[in-house]
Amino acid sequence: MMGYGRPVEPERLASTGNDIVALKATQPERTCRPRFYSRILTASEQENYSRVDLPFDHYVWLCWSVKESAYKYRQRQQPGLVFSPLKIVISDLQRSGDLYQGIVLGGPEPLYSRSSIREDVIVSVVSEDATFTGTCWGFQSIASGSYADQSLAVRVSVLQELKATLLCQESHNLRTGADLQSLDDLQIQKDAAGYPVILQGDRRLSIPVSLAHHDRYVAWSYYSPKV
Amino acid sequence: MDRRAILEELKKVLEPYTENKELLRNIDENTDLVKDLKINSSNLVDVIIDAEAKYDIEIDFDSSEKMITVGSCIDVISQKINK
Repeated sequence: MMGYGRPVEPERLASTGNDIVALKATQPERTCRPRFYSRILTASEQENYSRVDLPFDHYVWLCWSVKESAYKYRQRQQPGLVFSPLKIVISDLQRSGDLYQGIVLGGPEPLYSRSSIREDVIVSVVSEDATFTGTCWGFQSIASGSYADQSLAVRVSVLQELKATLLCQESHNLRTGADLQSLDDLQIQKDAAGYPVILQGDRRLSIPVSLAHHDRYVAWSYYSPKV
Repeated sequence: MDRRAILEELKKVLEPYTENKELLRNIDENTDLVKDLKINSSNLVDVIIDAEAKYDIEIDFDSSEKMITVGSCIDVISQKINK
């Protein structure tokens, strides 16, 4: 007997989004001017500052990096989306151990954010999963801040990490489509919509990836859950 | 101020945030600030604030969202100047 269940909702495309801010490349005095930060922080985020033990300019860039990460995450699902920091709202941003964690509102589903603040760099990543299972993220400093060097360094770094992940998770390569015998063929290119994709030869793998760079830092995230 | 004059002034606004000066010299209305000029997204607020100072205008949040290409920047600036 056939029944009528709930309509099946289309599965949303898996995604990832990250960002990095090199604090030495920012202007703290300018960042702290209302004319500047009011283009990034909503009223509720400005009120939340008192709950976060950070210099104000670091807080502004922390929020920026979370919002940029969320934008990249959603851009993959909604090509053509315009980055509008004030329409992305961060709720409950607070420190938890070595990380700052928050919930990002303003989209179809909330996203969860994790950020790490080191001496002069802020790195963020977002996920629909509060546990971040399957989301790998990292960053590194580089010798040169030129665009070409940033672009090359971040690709080399993320592919190196990804190869290690794929070799450790042999069973899930059926889902991603990766061929372990030719991992040196992995490359990253931009999709027509502008976000990066991972190719193996001419095949596109089902591994969403996000890249970021600022000054002498590069960062990456990718989503590759075990099955 | 016509569009050509706005474009020439806009090049000065974008200059501190653009690594490839040759590319900047040859921009046209279709040039994308992030994709083509490789301006870091963290500098987009700087560009808006510098443009406000350069043209003595105020760019509201809704208008700033539209400033993606050189042409859309000129549209917004032109509209605010002639307001």
